[in-house]
Amino acid sequence: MDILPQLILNSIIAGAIYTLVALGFNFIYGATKFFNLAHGIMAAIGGYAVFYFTKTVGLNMYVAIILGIALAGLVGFGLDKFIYLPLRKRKASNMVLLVASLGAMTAMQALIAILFSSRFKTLTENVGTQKLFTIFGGIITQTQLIILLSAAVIMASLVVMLYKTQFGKSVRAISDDEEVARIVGIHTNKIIGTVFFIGSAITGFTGILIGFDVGIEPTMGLNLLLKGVIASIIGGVGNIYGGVLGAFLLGFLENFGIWKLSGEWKDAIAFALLIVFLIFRPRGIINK
Amino acid sequence: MAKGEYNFIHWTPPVEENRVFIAELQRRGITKLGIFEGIAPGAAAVIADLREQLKETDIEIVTDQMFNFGETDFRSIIAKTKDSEAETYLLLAFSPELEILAQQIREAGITTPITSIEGFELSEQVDLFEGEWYVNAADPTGDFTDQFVAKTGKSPTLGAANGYDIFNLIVAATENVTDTTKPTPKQIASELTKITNFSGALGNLNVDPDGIIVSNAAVRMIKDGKPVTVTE
Repeated sequence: MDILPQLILNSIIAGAIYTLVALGFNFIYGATKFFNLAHGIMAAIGGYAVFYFTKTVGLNMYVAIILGIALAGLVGFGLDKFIYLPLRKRKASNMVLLVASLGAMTAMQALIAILFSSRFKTLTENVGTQKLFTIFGGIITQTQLIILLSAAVIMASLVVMLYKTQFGKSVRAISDDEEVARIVGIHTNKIIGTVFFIGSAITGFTGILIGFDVGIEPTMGLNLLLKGVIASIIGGVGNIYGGVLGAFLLGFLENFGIWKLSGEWKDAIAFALLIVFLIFRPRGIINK
Repeated sequence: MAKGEYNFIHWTPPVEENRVFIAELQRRGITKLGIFEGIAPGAAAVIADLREQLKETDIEIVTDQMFNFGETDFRSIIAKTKDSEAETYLLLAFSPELEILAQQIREAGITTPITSIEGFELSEQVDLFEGEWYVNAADPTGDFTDQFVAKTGKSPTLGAANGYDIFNLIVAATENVTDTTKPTPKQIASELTKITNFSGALGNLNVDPDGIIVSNAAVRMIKDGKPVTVTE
C-alpha cells in the first residue's frame, strides 16, 4: 500500500460519499430554499431499514435495499407533506422550517435508538470479508467501488432529470421563483413533495452503502449532513455541480490535510474551509 | 487522584495496566510499537504513563495516530503508518471506532498483530480480535466467580467485581463510623480512605489517601470468541 495513491483513493471515496449527501441536500434546497436538517437522518433510516429487513424479517438483501431506499424517500415525502407543507402554507419563515427540521431529526434519531438501541451495527454478515481491489498501488473495497459508481450514476441521472425532463423544468422553475411557477400552472407542492422523495431516497441509499462499508448507528446522519452541507456551501448551495465540486474539494483537503497534520484535525480542516468560504466566497465556487 | 470530596476510584489504574502491557511486549520481543489513539482523557492518561514507563525500556513508539471519537474513516491515518515498521499496533479505542479501525487496518492489507488495553473485551464484535492478546483487569477471585455463576447462571462481566467491591467498601466505611448511628457523607469518606487489607472480589484491597484502590491487571486473549486470562 503506497501512501500517495491510497490518499488519492481515500479522498475520492470521501468525496463520493459527501457528493451523495450533497446531491440530495442541494436538490431539496434548490426547490425549497431552506436548510433541511432532518435530511441526514434519511441515511440512518435507509441503513436501519436494510438491517431490519435482512436480519429480522429475513428478506433478500437486494429487496431490502430497494425497500430501504423507498422508505427513506417516503419518510422525506411524509416530512414535507405533514410538517413543512403546512408550515409553508402558513407563510412560515425559513428559520421556522429549519427549527422544525431540527425537531424532526431529533425525534427520528431518538425513535431509531429506541427501536434498535444506540449500539453500532453492521449490515455485512462477516466483517472484514469484503472483496479488495488494488488501483495504482492503493486499496479499495467492493463497497467503496459501488459508492464511487453510485455517485457518478446518481449525479448524471439528476442532471438528466433536471435538464431533460418536464419534471426537471418544473423543479428549476420553482427554484427560480415558486410563486411565479405556481401562477404559470405548476403544481408546486406536488413537485416539492417529489423532490423530497428523490432527495431523501438518495441519502437513504448513501446510508445503506455506508452501512455496508463501516456500519450504522442512530447518530450517523448528523455528521454526514454536516459534511454534505459544508460541501454544498463551498461548492455553491443549491447547485448540483457545485455540491459535487465542494464534496471532492472537501474530501481531498481532509485526507491530504491529515497526511501532514494529526488525524484529530480532520473535522477542524472541514470547518476551517467552511469559515474561509463563508468569509471570502459565501455563495460558493459556482455562483448560481 | 480521585477528584471530588466524596469520590474514590476502584478501577485498575493505567500505571498497573501499562506495567503488565510492557512486560508482555518485552516477553514477546517487541521493540517497535504503533499506536492508534482515540482522543479522550482516559486514553491520554494511559499514553502519558506508557511513554513514561517506556523510557526505562528499549521499546520505541514508532507511530502515534490520534483521531476524534465518532470518526469512521481511518484509512488515511492507517496509510500514514505504512512505513513505521511497527511490530504491533495498540488500539486505544472503544466500540464502534475500535471495530471499524480494526476492520480498516485489515482491509488495508496490514497483517501486523493488534493489541489493546481494555478495548477488546468491551467490543461488540469480539470475533474481530480472535487470537489477539490485550491487557485488562485481572479476574475476580474464584469465590466471587462461583457465587456469581450460582446466583445468575452467567460468568461475571468486566466491572461486576468492581461494582460488588465498591458497595461493600462503602458499607464497611459506614460501619467503621462508630460515634454516631447516622454518619455523614464526610465521615464515611474519611473512613473509606483508612481501609486497608479489605478482602474484596478483586483480592486484597487498600484505599490510599487520594481515594485510589490499586487492583491487578492481567494479559488476556480472545479465544473461541471469549476473553480468557493468559497470565495473572
